[in-house]
Amino acid sequence: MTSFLQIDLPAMLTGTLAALVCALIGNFLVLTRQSMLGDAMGHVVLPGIVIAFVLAGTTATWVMLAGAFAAALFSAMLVEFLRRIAGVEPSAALGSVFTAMFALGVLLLEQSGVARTSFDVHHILFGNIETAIWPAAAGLRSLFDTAALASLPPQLGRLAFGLAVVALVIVLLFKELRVVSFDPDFARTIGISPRMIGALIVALAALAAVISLSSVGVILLVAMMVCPPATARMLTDDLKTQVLLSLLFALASGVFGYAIAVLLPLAFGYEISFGAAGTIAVVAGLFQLAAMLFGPKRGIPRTV
Amino acid sequence: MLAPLPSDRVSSGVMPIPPLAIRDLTVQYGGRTALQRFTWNAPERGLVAIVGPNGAGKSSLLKAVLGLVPKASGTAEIFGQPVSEQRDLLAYVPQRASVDWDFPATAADVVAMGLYRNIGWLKPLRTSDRASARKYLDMVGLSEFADRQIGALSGGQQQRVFLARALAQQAKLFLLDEPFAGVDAVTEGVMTKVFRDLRDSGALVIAVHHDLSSVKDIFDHVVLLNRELIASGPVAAAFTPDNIARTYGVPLSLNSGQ
Repeated sequence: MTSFLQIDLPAMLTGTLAALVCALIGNFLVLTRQSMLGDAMGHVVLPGIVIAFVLAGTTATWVMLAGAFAAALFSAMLVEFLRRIAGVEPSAALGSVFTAMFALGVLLLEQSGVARTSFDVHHILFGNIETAIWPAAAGLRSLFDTAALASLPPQLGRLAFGLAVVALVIVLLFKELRVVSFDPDFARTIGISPRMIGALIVALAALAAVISLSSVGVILLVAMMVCPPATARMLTDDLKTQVLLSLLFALASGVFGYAIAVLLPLAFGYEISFGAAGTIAVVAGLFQLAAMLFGPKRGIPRTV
Repeated sequence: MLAPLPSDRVSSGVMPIPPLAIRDLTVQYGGRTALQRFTWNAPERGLVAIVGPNGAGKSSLLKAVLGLVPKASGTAEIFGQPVSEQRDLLAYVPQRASVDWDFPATAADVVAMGLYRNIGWLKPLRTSDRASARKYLDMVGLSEFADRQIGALSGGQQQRVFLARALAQQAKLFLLDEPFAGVDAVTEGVMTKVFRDLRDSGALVIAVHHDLSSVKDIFDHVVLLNRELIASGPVAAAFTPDNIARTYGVPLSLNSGQ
């Protein structure tokens, strides 16, 4: 029990919370046909985080967030510049900016020496849920012990906070997000600025990317953002139901993905478990495959 | 038929502020001029068709008036004020093809969007809003389709959903981009009736229209446009073979047997 609380619970919670926050904002990325924006956000925030760390000398949450947001904003402006002024095709502009920014981030990481102290490129790429541990846990009563709870891994607090922020914004601005996603011209004529709501979606995607990055890694980020909403979309035609279902699939991916990472190798007699971020993404992908094959509304049975 | 180019002035005692007054409006896309120094005062009420060939700047005209595309020069005023001040008085129906009908929404969800401005920011839909969305769907003959996903509706039904959304805005000025494009006869009948009811209630309906043969049946005013204003006025006076030929650049016969 104690080892479950010390090792498995915090890691599972980290993976699941990351999946939830990514899926939540992912709904609106998928609806506005910007799925790759989540991927781009994960890439572009890296140099921002590294520069912020080098300048401030700390990995405090607000420092990381500030660096990440500065990088996201800079990249968004750069993409707009390439599109409008230089006339570069939109997806090419996005593709060149986010890979260049990520490469810059990796370069900074290696050259500044922080790669050996605070960051690990491998973790940023592939995620590292397993370092989320709770050594102070000494049994079930620790769940009610404020001193022990205070030593929960810090990324859990960040993820919970980020999830609350994203959820609050989506609940409050649900109808504005809906009308801008469906009919931006009409939205503008009723005084709801698509540009402002669009910027908000980008900002929330950047927030989700920053707080999830250290756990799920940049490569799997887009799976977390796209798979649960895309799965949910195949099962319903109601936006609210879609958002709720996507959270359910994110939750299930987090829990089952982690369980598989730990239990499957054991079942085959291996001591070392899989990387849980990978199995979570695989489970999310399997859900989508199942929805595609068996979904009642939009699955393959309906279209062929 | 031989009347000189008419003015759009409606002869009533006082000169009211026109619902839409456009002065010197020019629209450009990357150096290409879509609309050139367009000046026009809309009639006080009625049904106005904007006609002209493809690429004549009809949609650009509506979009520039609404601020959806930038104006290179000129002004557009709604009841004497800039558009941004008069959003409560206008309703816009974009081209049906401009949105993704695969979107997860029902007909009632889309119609309710016409109530969003009235509901206000940050507030959810109330039960009464859902009821009134259904009322507007009923006005376009779609009450039994309220809970249908919009992608499962026919093109004509989709167009009527857009019309119901505009009705929900309770506007005085309606701007519609090709509302009759690709619709069935039932939809055409419903829309014509709704337009007439709007006119009778004192509203002004301005629609980009592509079918020259139905202009006389549906509309009472016409604006002929080909990058610049060719002619405008009551249909009987302005919709002449001459003006049409000048608009389209080729003589067109309209079975008018002239």
